[in-house]
Amino acid sequence: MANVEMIVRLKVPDNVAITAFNTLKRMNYTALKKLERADYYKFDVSGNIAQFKEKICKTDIIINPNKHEYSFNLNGTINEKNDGKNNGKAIKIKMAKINLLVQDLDNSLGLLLTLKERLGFSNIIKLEKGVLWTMYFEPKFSPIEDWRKFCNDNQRTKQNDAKVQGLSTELIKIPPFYERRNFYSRDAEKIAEDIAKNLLMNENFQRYVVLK
Amino acid sequence: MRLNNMKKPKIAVMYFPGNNCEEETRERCIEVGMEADIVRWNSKEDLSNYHGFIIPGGFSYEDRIRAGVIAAKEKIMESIRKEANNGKLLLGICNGAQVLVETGMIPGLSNKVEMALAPNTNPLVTGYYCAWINIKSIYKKTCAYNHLYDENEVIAMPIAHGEGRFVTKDKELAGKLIKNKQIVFRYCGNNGNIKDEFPINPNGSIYNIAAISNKEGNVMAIMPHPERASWQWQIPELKKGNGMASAIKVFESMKNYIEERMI
Repeated sequence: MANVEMIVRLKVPDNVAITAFNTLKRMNYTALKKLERADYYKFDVSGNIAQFKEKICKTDIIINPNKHEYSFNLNGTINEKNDGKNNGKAIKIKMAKINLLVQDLDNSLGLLLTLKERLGFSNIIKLEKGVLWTMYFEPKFSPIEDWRKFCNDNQRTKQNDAKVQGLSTELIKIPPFYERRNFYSRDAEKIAEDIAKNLLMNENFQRYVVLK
Repeated sequence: MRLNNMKKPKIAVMYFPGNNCEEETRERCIEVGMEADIVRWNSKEDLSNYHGFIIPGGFSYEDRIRAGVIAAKEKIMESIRKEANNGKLLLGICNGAQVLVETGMIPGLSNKVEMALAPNTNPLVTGYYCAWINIKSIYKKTCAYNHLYDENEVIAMPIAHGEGRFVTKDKELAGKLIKNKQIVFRYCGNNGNIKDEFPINPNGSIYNIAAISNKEGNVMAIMPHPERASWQWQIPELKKGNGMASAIKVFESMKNYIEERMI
Protein backbone atom coordinates (compact mmCIF):
# COMPACT_ATOMS: atom_id res chain seq x y z
CA MET A 1 0.00 0.00 0.00
CA ALA A 2 1.21 3.52 -0.79
CA ASN A 3 0.23 7.07 -0.11
CA VAL A 4 -0.65 9.34 -3.00
CA GLU A 5 -1.10 13.04 -2.33
CA MET A 6 -2.86 15.04 -5.01
CA ILE A 7 -3.15 18.82 -5.12
CA VAL A 8 -5.81 20.33 -7.37
CA ARG A 9 -5.72 24.06 -8.04
CA LEU A 10 -7.82 26.38 -10.11
CA LYS A 11 -6.17 27.70 -13.26
CA VAL A 12 -8.70 30.50 -13.33
CA PRO A 13 -8.74 33.20 -10.62
CA ASP A 14 -9.69 31.69 -7.28
CA ASN A 15 -12.37 33.95 -5.83
CA VAL A 16 -12.30 32.20 -2.47
CA ALA A 17 -8.57 32.79 -2.08
CA ILE A 18 -8.96 36.41 -3.19
CA THR A 19 -11.76 37.02 -0.69
CA ALA A 20 -9.79 35.32 2.08
CA PHE A 21 -6.70 37.39 1.26
CA ASN A 22 -8.66 40.66 1.25
CA THR A 23 -10.34 39.74 4.54
CA LEU A 24 -6.96 38.96 6.12
CA LYS A 25 -5.63 42.31 4.96
CA ARG A 26 -8.63 43.93 6.66
CA MET A 27 -7.74 41.94 9.76
CA ASN A 28 -4.26 43.53 9.67
CA TYR A 29 -2.25 40.50 8.58
CA THR A 30 0.04 42.77 6.60
CA ALA A 31 2.96 40.34 6.49
CA LEU A 32 0.94 38.02 4.27
CA LYS A 33 1.78 38.86 0.68
CA LYS A 34 0.06 36.12 -1.25
CA LEU A 35 -2.49 33.41 -0.55
CA GLU A 36 -3.30 30.37 -2.64
CA ARG A 37 -5.87 27.66 -2.14
CA ALA A 38 -6.05 24.12 -3.45
CA ASP A 39 -8.06 20.98 -2.88
CA TYR A 40 -5.97 18.35 -1.17
CA TYR A 41 -6.51 14.59 -1.47
CA LYS A 42 -4.53 11.84 0.15
CA PHE A 43 -5.25 8.34 -1.06
CA ASP A 44 -4.11 5.10 0.52
CA VAL A 45 -3.86 2.88 -2.52
CA SER A 46 -2.94 -0.71 -3.19
CA GLY A 47 -1.62 -2.05 -6.48
CA ASN A 48 0.01 -0.15 -9.31
CA ILE A 49 0.54 3.46 -8.26
CA ALA A 50 1.48 4.78 -11.68
CA GLN A 51 -1.71 3.41 -13.16
CA PHE A 52 -3.71 4.87 -10.29
CA LYS A 53 -2.23 8.32 -10.82
CA GLU A 54 -2.92 8.18 -14.52
CA LYS A 55 -6.53 7.18 -13.93
CA ILE A 56 -7.39 9.45 -11.00
CA CYS A 57 -6.36 12.64 -12.77
CA LYS A 58 -8.81 11.84 -15.55
CA THR A 59 -11.71 11.66 -13.12
CA ASP A 60 -13.88 14.65 -13.88
CA ILE A 61 -15.32 14.55 -10.36
CA ILE A 62 -12.01 15.76 -8.96
CA ILE A 63 -10.45 17.56 -11.90
CA ASN A 64 -12.07 19.57 -14.65
CA PRO A 65 -9.15 20.15 -17.02
CA ASN A 66 -10.78 23.30 -18.33
CA LYS A 67 -10.29 25.07 -15.03
CA HIS A 68 -8.06 22.89 -12.85
CA GLU A 69 -4.42 21.92 -12.78
CA TYR A 70 -3.02 19.26 -10.52
CA SER A 71 0.17 17.84 -9.14
CA PHE A 72 1.19 14.90 -7.03
CA ASN A 73 3.79 16.96 -5.22
CA LEU A 74 3.39 19.46 -2.41
CA ASN A 75 6.60 21.34 -3.12
CA GLY A 76 5.74 24.16 -5.43
CA THR A 77 8.21 26.84 -6.37
CA ILE A 78 9.10 29.46 -3.79
CA ASN A 79 8.49 32.88 -5.18
CA GLU A 80 11.40 35.20 -5.41
CA LYS A 81 11.32 38.91 -5.85
CA ASN A 82 13.60 41.83 -6.18
CA ASP A 83 12.71 44.07 -3.28
CA GLY A 84 14.40 47.14 -4.81
CA LYS A 85 16.18 48.00 -1.58
CA ASN A 86 19.88 47.72 -0.69
CA ASN A 87 20.84 51.00 -2.37
CA GLY A 88 19.53 50.08 -5.72
CA LYS A 89 21.59 46.92 -5.90
CA ALA A 90 19.22 44.12 -6.73
CA ILE A 91 19.00 41.37 -4.18
CA LYS A 92 16.64 38.45 -4.31
CA ILE A 93 14.49 37.76 -1.34
CA LYS A 94 12.74 34.48 -0.87
CA MET A 95 9.33 34.65 0.65
CA ALA A 96 8.64 32.33 3.54
CA LYS A 97 6.10 29.82 2.32
CA ILE A 98 3.77 27.96 4.65
CA ASN A 99 1.50 25.13 3.55
CA LEU A 100 -1.40 24.75 5.91
CA LEU A 101 -3.97 22.00 5.51
CA VAL A 102 -7.48 22.42 6.92
CA GLN A 103 -9.60 19.30 7.29
CA ASP A 104 -13.00 18.54 8.74
CA LEU A 105 -12.79 16.35 11.83
CA ASP A 106 -15.39 13.99 10.39
CA ASN A 107 -14.21 13.41 6.85
CA SER A 108 -17.07 12.64 4.50
CA LEU A 109 -17.15 9.19 2.96
CA GLY A 110 -19.24 10.37 0.00
CA LEU A 111 -16.36 10.89 -2.43
CA LEU A 112 -14.68 7.64 -1.44
CA LEU A 113 -17.88 5.71 -2.10
CA THR A 114 -18.37 7.42 -5.45
CA LEU A 115 -14.82 6.65 -6.53
CA LYS A 116 -15.00 3.04 -5.39
CA GLU A 117 -18.51 2.09 -6.34
CA ARG A 118 -19.29 4.22 -9.36
CA LEU A 119 -15.91 4.78 -10.91
CA GLY A 120 -14.25 1.46 -10.20
CA PHE A 121 -11.41 2.61 -7.94
CA SER A 122 -11.57 -0.52 -5.86
CA ASN A 123 -7.89 -0.16 -4.91
CA ILE A 124 -8.49 2.97 -2.79
CA ILE A 125 -8.37 1.90 0.82
CA LYS A 126 -8.65 5.29 2.48
CA LEU A 127 -9.20 8.86 1.40
CA GLU A 128 -8.51 12.09 3.25
CA LYS A 129 -9.40 15.43 1.82
CA GLY A 130 -9.02 19.02 2.86
CA VAL A 131 -8.23 22.53 1.75
CA LEU A 132 -4.59 23.39 1.33
CA TRP A 133 -3.77 27.03 1.94
CA THR A 134 -0.39 28.24 0.79
CA MET A 135 0.70 31.47 2.41
CA TYR A 136 3.62 33.59 1.33
CA PHE A 137 5.15 35.98 3.80
CA GLU A 138 7.64 38.60 2.79
CA PRO A 139 10.66 38.98 5.07
CA LYS A 140 10.23 42.23 6.86
CA PHE A 141 13.06 44.48 7.91
CA SER A 142 12.80 43.86 11.60
CA PRO A 143 13.22 46.50 14.24
CA ILE A 144 16.61 46.25 15.88
CA GLU A 145 15.05 44.96 19.12
CA ASP A 146 13.48 42.03 17.28
CA TRP A 147 16.77 41.19 15.68
CA ARG A 148 18.61 41.31 19.00
CA LYS A 149 15.91 39.18 20.60
CA PHE A 150 16.35 36.68 17.83
CA CYS A 151 20.08 36.61 18.51
CA ASN A 152 19.49 36.06 22.22
CA ASP A 153 16.82 33.43 21.63
CA ASN A 154 19.23 31.56 19.44
CA GLN A 155 22.06 31.79 21.97
CA ARG A 156 24.45 33.62 19.68
CA THR A 157 28.08 33.72 20.70
CA LYS A 158 29.48 36.79 22.42
CA GLN A 159 31.58 37.44 19.38
CA ASN A 160 28.52 37.46 17.14
CA ASP A 161 26.59 39.59 19.60
CA ALA A 162 29.42 42.07 19.56
CA LYS A 163 29.32 41.94 15.81
CA VAL A 164 25.63 42.73 15.87
CA GLN A 165 26.15 45.54 18.36
CA GLY A 166 28.83 46.99 16.17
CA LEU A 167 26.82 47.06 13.00
CA SER A 168 25.12 50.19 11.87
CA THR A 169 21.37 50.34 12.34
CA GLU A 170 20.90 50.11 8.61
CA LEU A 171 22.90 46.94 8.36
CA ILE A 172 21.24 45.37 11.36
CA LYS A 173 17.93 45.92 9.65
CA ILE A 174 19.20 43.77 6.81
CA PRO A 175 20.90 40.82 8.44
CA PRO A 176 22.57 38.10 6.40
CA PHE A 177 20.12 36.41 4.13
CA TYR A 178 20.02 32.98 5.70
CA GLU A 179 19.54 34.36 9.19
CA ARG A 180 16.83 36.69 8.09
CA ARG A 181 15.07 33.79 6.45
CA ASN A 182 15.32 31.61 9.55
CA PHE A 183 14.01 34.40 11.68
CA TYR A 184 11.11 35.05 9.42
CA SER A 185 10.17 31.44 8.70
CA ARG A 186 9.69 30.87 12.38
CA ASP A 187 7.65 34.01 12.62
CA ALA A 188 5.67 33.15 9.50
CA GLU A 189 4.59 29.80 10.84
CA LYS A 190 3.20 31.47 13.95
CA ILE A 191 1.30 34.01 11.86
CA ALA A 192 0.00 31.24 9.59
CA GLU A 193 -1.36 29.33 12.58
CA ASP A 194 -2.94 32.50 13.88
CA ILE A 195 -4.59 33.06 10.50
CA ALA A 196 -5.89 29.51 10.53
CA LYS A 197 -7.44 29.94 13.96
CA ASN A 198 -8.94 33.34 13.19
CA LEU A 199 -10.30 32.76 9.71
CA LEU A 200 -9.45 29.64 7.78
CA MET A 201 -10.89 27.06 10.13
CA ASN A 202 -13.35 26.67 12.96
CA GLU A 203 -11.79 24.41 15.54
CA ASN A 204 -15.19 23.15 16.64
CA PHE A 205 -15.38 20.91 13.58
CA GLN A 206 -12.08 21.32 11.81
CA ARG A 207 -8.36 20.91 12.41
CA TYR A 208 -5.25 22.25 10.75
CA VAL A 209 -1.76 21.00 10.24
CA VAL A 210 1.27 22.80 8.84
CA LEU A 211 2.73 20.59 6.14
CA LYS A 212 6.52 20.65 6.08
CA MET B 1 -32.55 51.71 27.47
CA ARG B 2 -35.19 54.04 26.11
CA LEU B 3 -35.24 55.59 22.68
CA ASN B 4 -37.41 58.65 22.67
CA ASN B 5 -39.83 59.82 20.00
CA MET B 6 -40.18 56.39 18.44
CA LYS B 7 -43.61 54.88 18.49
CA LYS B 8 -42.79 51.70 16.65
CA PRO B 9 -39.86 49.39 17.19
CA LYS B 10 -37.40 49.93 14.38
CA ILE B 11 -35.41 47.05 12.93
CA ALA B 12 -32.42 47.08 10.59
CA VAL B 13 -32.30 44.07 8.29
CA MET B 14 -28.59 43.84 7.56
CA TYR B 15 -27.73 43.04 3.99
CA PHE B 16 -24.41 41.42 3.07
CA PRO B 17 -23.52 40.55 -0.53
CA GLY B 18 -25.15 37.21 -1.29
CA ASN B 19 -28.05 37.41 1.16
CA ASN B 20 -31.39 36.63 -0.44
CA CYS B 21 -34.02 36.78 2.30
CA GLU B 22 -33.81 40.43 3.23
CA GLU B 23 -37.07 41.50 1.56
CA GLU B 24 -39.34 38.91 3.14
CA THR B 25 -37.63 39.39 6.50
CA ARG B 26 -38.32 43.11 6.29
CA GLU B 27 -41.93 42.36 5.27
CA ARG B 28 -42.46 40.15 8.32
CA CYS B 29 -41.22 42.92 10.60
CA ILE B 30 -43.63 45.39 9.02
CA GLU B 31 -46.52 42.91 9.15
CA VAL B 32 -46.23 42.62 12.93
CA GLY B 33 -46.18 46.38 13.37
CA MET B 34 -42.52 47.29 13.42
CA GLU B 35 -40.62 49.60 11.12
CA ALA B 36 -37.85 47.99 9.15
CA ASP B 37 -35.11 49.11 6.79
CA ILE B 38 -32.66 47.12 4.76
CA VAL B 39 -29.21 48.39 5.70
CA ARG B 40 -26.25 47.46 3.52
CA TRP B 41 -23.04 46.09 4.98
CA ASN B 42 -21.05 49.12 3.79
CA SER B 43 -23.52 51.68 5.06
CA LYS B 44 -22.26 54.53 7.20
CA GLU B 45 -25.68 54.81 8.83
CA ASP B 46 -25.85 55.33 12.57
CA LEU B 47 -27.05 51.98 13.87
CA SER B 48 -27.92 53.37 17.26
CA ASN B 49 -31.21 54.57 15.73
CA TYR B 50 -32.46 50.98 15.61
CA HIS B 51 -33.92 48.85 18.39
CA GLY B 52 -32.81 45.64 16.79
CA PHE B 53 -31.06 43.95 13.92
CA ILE B 54 -31.74 40.91 11.80
CA ILE B 55 -29.11 39.22 9.67
CA PRO B 56 -31.17 37.36 7.08
CA GLY B 57 -30.62 34.13 5.22
CA GLY B 58 -28.81 33.55 1.97
CA PHE B 59 -25.23 33.00 1.01
CA SER B 60 -23.22 35.97 2.18
CA TYR B 61 -19.97 36.12 0.22
CA GLU B 62 -20.98 32.90 -1.54
CA ASP B 63 -20.20 30.97 1.65
CA ARG B 64 -16.51 31.44 0.81
CA ILE B 65 -14.17 29.63 3.24
CA ARG B 66 -17.10 28.75 5.55
CA ALA B 67 -20.68 29.90 5.62
CA GLY B 68 -20.92 33.22 7.44
CA VAL B 69 -17.26 33.68 8.31
CA ILE B 70 -16.44 36.55 5.93
CA ALA B 71 -19.49 38.58 6.99
CA ALA B 72 -18.54 37.87 10.61
CA LYS B 73 -15.26 39.71 10.02
CA GLU B 74 -16.89 42.75 8.38
CA LYS B 75 -16.38 46.06 10.09
CA ILE B 76 -20.11 46.67 10.49
CA MET B 77 -20.31 43.61 12.72
CA GLU B 78 -18.25 45.48 15.30
CA SER B 79 -20.94 48.17 15.43
CA ILE B 80 -23.71 45.57 15.61
CA ARG B 81 -21.88 43.76 18.40
CA LYS B 82 -21.60 47.03 20.29
CA GLU B 83 -25.35 47.63 19.95
CA ALA B 84 -26.14 44.06 21.03
CA ASN B 85 -23.83 44.42 24.02
CA ASN B 86 -26.05 47.36 25.00
CA GLY B 87 -29.09 45.10 24.98
CA LYS B 88 -30.40 45.70 21.46
CA LEU B 89 -31.95 42.71 19.72
CA LEU B 90 -29.95 40.73 17.19
CA LEU B 91 -31.47 37.81 15.30
CA GLY B 92 -29.57 35.71 12.78
CA ILE B 93 -31.65 33.53 10.49
CA CYS B 94 -29.93 30.67 8.66
CA ASN B 95 -26.90 32.36 7.07
CA GLY B 96 -27.36 35.08 9.68
CA ALA B 97 -27.13 32.38 12.34
CA GLN B 98 -23.90 31.17 10.78
CA VAL B 99 -22.57 34.73 10.95
CA LEU B 100 -23.47 35.06 14.64
CA VAL B 101 -21.84 31.74 15.52
CA GLU B 102 -18.68 32.74 13.64
CA THR B 103 -18.51 36.02 15.56
CA GLY B 104 -18.70 34.12 18.85
CA MET B 105 -21.78 36.12 19.90
CA ILE B 106 -23.66 32.83 19.97
CA PRO B 107 -23.56 31.22 22.44
CA GLY B 108 -21.45 34.10 23.77
CA LEU B 109 -20.24 32.51 26.97
CA SER B 110 -16.63 33.49 26.33
CA ASN B 111 -14.69 35.77 24.02
CA LYS B 112 -13.96 33.03 21.52
CA VAL B 113 -15.82 31.06 18.87
CA GLU B 114 -17.31 28.24 20.92
CA MET B 115 -19.47 26.56 18.30
CA ALA B 116 -19.71 25.91 14.60
CA LEU B 117 -22.47 25.30 12.13
CA ALA B 118 -20.85 22.35 10.42
CA PRO B 119 -21.89 20.59 7.21
CA ASN B 120 -25.09 18.61 7.66
CA THR B 121 -25.00 14.92 8.36
CA ASN B 122 -27.91 13.50 6.49
CA PRO B 123 -28.46 9.98 5.13
CA LEU B 124 -30.16 11.27 2.00
CA VAL B 125 -27.93 13.93 0.57
CA THR B 126 -24.53 15.51 1.03
CA GLY B 127 -24.54 19.28 1.14
CA TYR B 128 -27.55 21.53 0.72
CA TYR B 129 -30.82 20.17 2.10
CA CYS B 130 -34.21 21.83 1.92
CA ALA B 131 -37.31 20.49 3.71
CA TRP B 132 -40.22 21.34 5.97
CA ILE B 133 -39.46 20.42 9.55
CA ASN B 134 -40.91 21.07 13.01
CA ILE B 135 -39.30 22.81 15.91
CA LYS B 136 -40.45 23.14 19.46
CA SER B 137 -40.30 26.14 21.76
CA ILE B 138 -38.60 24.77 24.84
CA TYR B 139 -39.36 27.66 27.16
CA LYS B 140 -41.54 30.73 27.36
CA LYS B 141 -40.14 34.24 27.83
CA THR B 142 -36.55 33.19 28.39
CA CYS B 143 -35.40 35.41 25.54
CA ALA B 144 -36.65 38.09 23.17
CA TYR B 145 -37.77 35.56 20.57
CA ASN B 146 -40.01 33.20 22.53
CA HIS B 147 -42.03 35.81 24.41
CA LEU B 148 -45.28 34.79 22.77
CA TYR B 149 -44.71 31.06 22.48
CA ASP B 150 -46.01 28.52 24.91
CA GLU B 151 -43.69 25.92 26.33
CA ASN B 152 -43.55 22.92 24.00
CA GLU B 153 -45.41 24.71 21.22
CA VAL B 154 -44.65 23.04 17.90
CA ILE B 155 -43.91 25.28 14.93
CA ALA B 156 -43.62 24.31 11.26
CA MET B 157 -40.78 25.96 9.37
CA PRO B 158 -38.63 25.20 6.36
CA ILE B 159 -34.90 24.63 6.55
CA ALA B 160 -32.63 25.30 3.58
CA HIS B 161 -28.94 24.90 4.29
CA GLY B 162 -25.85 22.79 3.78
CA GLU B 163 -24.08 23.83 6.97
CA GLY B 164 -26.59 23.86 9.80
CA ARG B 165 -25.35 21.33 12.30
CA PHE B 166 -24.65 22.99 15.63
CA VAL B 167 -21.47 21.39 17.01
CA THR B 168 -18.83 22.24 19.57
CA LYS B 169 -15.55 20.76 20.68
CA ASP B 170 -16.33 21.77 24.26
CA LYS B 171 -17.89 18.73 25.90
CA GLU B 172 -19.31 20.79 28.73
CA LEU B 173 -20.89 23.48 26.58
CA ALA B 174 -24.20 21.72 25.85
CA GLY B 175 -24.73 21.28 29.60
CA LYS B 176 -24.10 24.97 30.18
CA LEU B 177 -26.54 25.93 27.42
CA ILE B 178 -29.23 23.74 28.92
CA LYS B 179 -28.60 25.11 32.39
CA ASN B 180 -28.74 28.69 31.10
CA LYS B 181 -31.92 27.95 29.10
CA GLN B 182 -30.14 29.15 25.96
CA ILE B 183 -31.47 26.39 23.70
CA VAL B 184 -34.61 28.14 22.55
CA PHE B 185 -35.92 25.84 19.81
CA ARG B 186 -35.23 22.16 19.13
CA TYR B 187 -36.07 19.98 16.12
CA CYS B 188 -39.00 17.67 16.82
CA GLY B 189 -41.63 15.52 15.15
CA ASN B 190 -45.21 16.58 14.31
CA ASN B 191 -46.39 15.79 17.81
CA GLY B 192 -43.44 17.45 19.54
CA ASN B 193 -41.47 14.28 20.15
CA ILE B 194 -37.74 14.89 20.11
CA LYS B 195 -35.59 12.16 18.62
CA ASP B 196 -32.00 12.52 17.53
CA GLU B 197 -32.59 10.83 14.21
CA PHE B 198 -33.27 11.84 10.64
CA PRO B 199 -35.66 13.30 9.48
CA ILE B 200 -36.73 14.73 12.86
CA ASN B 201 -33.22 16.07 13.32
CA PRO B 202 -32.57 17.11 9.71
CA ASN B 203 -28.90 17.99 9.94
CA GLY B 204 -27.40 16.06 12.86
CA SER B 205 -27.32 19.06 15.18
CA ILE B 206 -26.26 18.21 18.73
CA TYR B 207 -29.19 17.95 21.14
CA ASN B 208 -31.52 18.63 18.15
CA ILE B 209 -30.64 22.32 18.44
CA ALA B 210 -32.45 24.56 15.98
CA ALA B 211 -31.87 27.89 17.74
CA ILE B 212 -29.61 29.19 20.49
CA SER B 213 -29.73 32.51 22.28
CA ASN B 214 -27.03 34.25 24.24
CA LYS B 215 -27.26 34.14 28.01
CA GLU B 216 -28.89 37.59 28.17
CA GLY B 217 -31.58 36.53 25.67
CA ASN B 218 -31.26 39.45 23.26
CA VAL B 219 -29.25 37.62 20.57
CA MET B 220 -30.45 34.46 18.83
CA ALA B 221 -29.21 32.29 15.97
CA ILE B 222 -31.90 30.17 14.31
CA MET B 223 -31.33 27.85 11.35
CA PRO B 224 -34.95 27.35 10.15
CA HIS B 225 -36.66 30.23 8.35
CA PRO B 226 -39.53 31.82 10.33
CA GLU B 227 -39.95 34.49 7.66
CA ARG B 228 -40.92 31.80 5.15
CA ALA B 229 -43.56 30.24 7.39
CA SER B 230 -45.32 33.22 8.91
CA TRP B 231 -48.59 32.91 7.00
CA GLN B 232 -50.78 29.88 6.65
CA TRP B 233 -50.63 30.10 2.85
CA GLN B 234 -46.88 29.62 3.06
CA ILE B 235 -47.20 26.27 4.83
CA PRO B 236 -48.03 23.25 2.64
CA GLU B 237 -50.38 21.67 5.19
CA LEU B 238 -52.25 24.92 5.83
CA LYS B 239 -52.09 26.56 2.44
CA LYS B 240 -55.81 27.23 2.16
CA GLY B 241 -55.76 29.48 5.20
CA ASN B 242 -55.19 33.21 5.14
CA GLY B 243 -54.24 33.82 8.75
CA MET B 244 -50.89 34.15 10.39
CA ALA B 245 -48.99 30.98 11.24
CA SER B 246 -47.13 30.42 14.45
CA ALA B 247 -43.65 31.22 13.04
CA ILE B 248 -44.68 34.90 12.87
CA LYS B 249 -44.50 34.91 16.66
CA VAL B 250 -40.69 35.10 16.42
CA PHE B 251 -41.16 38.61 15.01
CA GLU B 252 -44.11 39.44 17.24
CA SER B 253 -42.04 38.39 20.23
CA MET B 254 -39.33 40.81 19.17
CA LYS B 255 -41.86 43.62 18.96
CA ASN B 256 -43.38 42.69 22.28
CA TYR B 257 -39.96 42.52 23.97
CA ILE B 258 -38.88 45.89 22.56
CA GLU B 259 -42.13 47.57 23.53
CA GLU B 260 -41.92 46.21 27.06
CA ARG B 261 -38.35 47.24 27.64
CA MET B 262 -37.21 49.91 25.24
CA ILE B 263 -40.07 52.14 24.24
